[in-house]
Amino acid sequence: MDWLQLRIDDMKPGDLDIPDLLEMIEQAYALLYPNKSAKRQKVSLDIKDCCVLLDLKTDDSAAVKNMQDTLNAVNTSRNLDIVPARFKNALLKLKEKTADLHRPLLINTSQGHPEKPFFLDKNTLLQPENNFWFKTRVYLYGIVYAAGGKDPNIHLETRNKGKVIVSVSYKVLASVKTNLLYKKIGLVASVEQHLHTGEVRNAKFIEFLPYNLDKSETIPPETDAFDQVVDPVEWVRSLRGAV
Amino acid sequence: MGSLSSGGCVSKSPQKPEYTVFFDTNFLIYLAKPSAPEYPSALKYYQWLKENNVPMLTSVVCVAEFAVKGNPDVIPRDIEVLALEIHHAKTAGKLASIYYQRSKKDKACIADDLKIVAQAQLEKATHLLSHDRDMMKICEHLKSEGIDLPFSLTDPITIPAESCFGFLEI
Repeated sequence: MDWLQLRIDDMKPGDLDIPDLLEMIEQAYALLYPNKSAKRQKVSLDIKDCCVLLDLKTDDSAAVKNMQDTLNAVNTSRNLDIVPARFKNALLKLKEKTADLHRPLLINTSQGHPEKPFFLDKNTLLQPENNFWFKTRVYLYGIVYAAGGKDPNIHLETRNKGKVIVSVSYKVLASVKTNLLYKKIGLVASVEQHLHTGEVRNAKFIEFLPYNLDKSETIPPETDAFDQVVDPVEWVRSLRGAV
Repeated sequence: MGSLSSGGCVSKSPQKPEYTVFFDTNFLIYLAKPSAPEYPSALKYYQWLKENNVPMLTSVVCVAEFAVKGNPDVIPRDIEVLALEIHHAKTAGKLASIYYQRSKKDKACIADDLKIVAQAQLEKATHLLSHDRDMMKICEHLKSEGIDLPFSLTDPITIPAESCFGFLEI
């Protein structure tokens, strides 16, 4: 029979209020079966008095293995976005519980390393999704499909970020001398950007980029600035460092 | 940055571009230096890409290098200059960690190469145009470590544009 354990040292079950115990059992069950539609087997519970030790037993080895694999993945990546939503919520709720109880929680399964339980306390770095969004500035290039509105914005269909809605002031749109619709433009925006995917949200216009698709300019401007540079490759390499 | 330029009109039903091309700094220099023997090759690439509405990209890293001697105002305005974004930075760091594991070189070197590679990779460039053999070594090293680089590193001087993109010169 396989098992999973939630353990809190230096505390006895009698120290816990019933709602706390119930919540821990509920979240332990969610870790085991994060997919609500998954076929489930019976899970029994034993509460041991040595410390707070919730011992859930089951014949469902596959579910326990999945749970252990997911805990390992969280341990390695510290990224809750990669786990099922219910699993993520259960971990975050258990983390809250450790803060309430002022005690860390140790989670282990029959398929985990006996000496290395998953350690959870209020300081454990489990970043909910919002922590992967960074405030930054990006250059956005795309075709304008709408510009204006009561809450003025520019709808930009970009090559690499899909459709981005950039909020902009009336003043900026009123001062643009050409019709933006169906033109490809570039602009700088302050955004929140996802660390892993590069996706952007809450884009706010800062300024237009001098981007121009004028077909008539087929010869790019020239400069004599590089006349003394005999070999541009070597020159650039001297800036970057040798390989 | 300057004010909005007139902007190019986009055709009613734009064809999905088959290529996305990323320019390394040396290509930008060739393009601005008509006296260079490499200029005609670079110009042919640029004109064909422009004519065929192929997205042309470069990095702020390349613009910074260009600006050491030249005025970036001469860089054609239909090239998308990419800022080093947060996911680019993360990937560049990861590539550096993989590269430095085996390389004995000074870690301060080639950091900019890896930023450019990370940007070309994440922006799904089909071609990275560079005449730099060291860039080739870096990409080959990363590939040998199992990194999937979606672009073909193309030397715009030894491989003419017509061979690269399979068009006939008229």
